[in-house]
Amino acid sequence: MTLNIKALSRSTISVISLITIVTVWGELVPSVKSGIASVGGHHWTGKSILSVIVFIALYCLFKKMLKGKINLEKEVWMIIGTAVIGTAVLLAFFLWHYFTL
Amino acid sequence: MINPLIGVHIGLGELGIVAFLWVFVELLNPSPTRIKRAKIASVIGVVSFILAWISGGAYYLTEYGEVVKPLIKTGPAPWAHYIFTETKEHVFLFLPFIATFASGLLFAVEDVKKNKKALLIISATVVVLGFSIAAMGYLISSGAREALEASL
Repeated sequence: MTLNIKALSRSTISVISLITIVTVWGELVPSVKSGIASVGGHHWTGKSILSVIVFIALYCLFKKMLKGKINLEKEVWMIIGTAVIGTAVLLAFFLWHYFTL
Repeated sequence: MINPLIGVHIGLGELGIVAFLWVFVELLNPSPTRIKRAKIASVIGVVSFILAWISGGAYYLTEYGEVVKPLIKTGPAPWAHYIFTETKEHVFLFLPFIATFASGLLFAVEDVKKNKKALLIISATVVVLGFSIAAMGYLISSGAREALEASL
């Protein structure tokens, strides 16, 4: 089996973005948080299960869609950028949440 | 008694970080033997992060939620939970996926020497992100210790 690195990169970026968006959205809209919790009994378990399912599903999808040449350094920097933005957004959100609520 | 799950979670998380540090060092000057060792280390790292995810989740859903979280929230440093536990529990979820990408990249590239820079950058990212998460864990346990000291 040959790994499709572009598909792996894009599914990693997508799942990091999804975790960040769903976390902030769930904190702002309680019905979203309880909906995620219904997946695994707790919102964190729900996010964990969903992230694995989405990662695998997107990899399979992107593997069929994304073919051809790849700029490895660009893919790596895209993952790092997404992780840095995701971390900054989550930290800033919980700081704001703590000091305002 | 301190729940052993927290020790297992920390140990596995640190093993994962050290494994990717090992990958980074092997790839500084890659040779066929070093690349082989780096591949083994990257698999150790990914497996460690997955097991740290499961053990940390089990601890978070039982001991932390029932005992530690209420203690921190009523103690002198409630920010340890509201800011750092909340951030850590979600940022941690990034780590197994980035580690899987790093390991997959190492196995997939045909010419490691040619792609050395990308491999070094992503391995270093796993290490830096891992240590950042460990630092947040330190702040959370400090919040719990402060709460315990205040209750004495």
